Amino acid sequence: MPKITYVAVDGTEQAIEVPTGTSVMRGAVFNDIDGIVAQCGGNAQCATCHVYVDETTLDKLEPMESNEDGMLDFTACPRRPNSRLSCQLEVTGALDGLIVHLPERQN
Amino acid sequence: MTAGAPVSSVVIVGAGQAGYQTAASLRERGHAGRITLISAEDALPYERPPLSKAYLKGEADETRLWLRPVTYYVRQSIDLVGGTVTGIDRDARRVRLADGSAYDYDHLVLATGARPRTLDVPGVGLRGVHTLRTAQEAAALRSALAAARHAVVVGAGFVGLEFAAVARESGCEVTVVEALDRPLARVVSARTAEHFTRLHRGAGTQLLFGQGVTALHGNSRGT
Repeated sequence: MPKITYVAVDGTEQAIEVPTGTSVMRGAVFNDIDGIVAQCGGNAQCATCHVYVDETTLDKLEPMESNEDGMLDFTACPRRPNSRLSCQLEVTGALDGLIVHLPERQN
Repeated sequence: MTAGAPVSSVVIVGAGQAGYQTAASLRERGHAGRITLISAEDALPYERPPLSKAYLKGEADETRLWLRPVTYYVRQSIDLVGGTVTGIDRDARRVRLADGSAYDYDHLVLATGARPRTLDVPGVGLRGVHTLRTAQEAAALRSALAAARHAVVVGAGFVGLEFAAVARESGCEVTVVEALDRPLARVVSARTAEHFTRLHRGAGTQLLFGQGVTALHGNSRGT
């Protein structure tokens, strides 16, 4: 299973094996990683699953769709060039080794 | 919270999205008192939108519907209680459940949601007549769909049309009966409604507008 590393605001890292076909958001929520709210349940409608993708692993991701791009303007913490909505990141083999940083808050 | 102030206890009736989120937000914002989340369904809080889509199609199992895993409620000290509330004693600040148990509260949240309106016409109790609100009802519909050849949907809102699409895809002949003159009248413009009318008709679904249902009749197969 692809391994994804979630880095908390205090720097704590948790590497989780996340099944393919699910999302980076669900990988966190279903493995007791706090810091992702995902209020809308994974539909790119609330921007509460915001993550900063580690620059060294940005190339593992597909480009975002326009709905994710639009929603990223509504994140609680500032949007940066490496901002993504984790619910829109479908876990595939290509994501193995992905590192995401959790923002200070989601709402 | 003021130091020394008694820690209040919150009882939430209804463990759907709203009930769950109330509990989660209370903990997120630092509420330290007891939180009791009461559900009439024997299930962890789950999302309903997939019930008329992926779950109905069998593409998602029950665990995919859960808003959080069971460990979340343990970690957050949110007490999940299965049962139906039968009474609220406002003077004593206590809710009573059908099984005789009772829960005291300082704050009570009613998050019981809505239920599908059933039809006041003859035949609503016939076998093969379903409503769709809970995961259990969706599972029953899924098994019924596997053997069904015809499906009639009353109401062309989101849920009705989503069900119609799934039923059509599974090979049913589908008729949607809508009382108003177009689908999704409450939520989208006439132009958008027209788009969805074309889409469903293009898939072979029959849509009837401005039509009410006066009775449901059984057939020789006992449905």
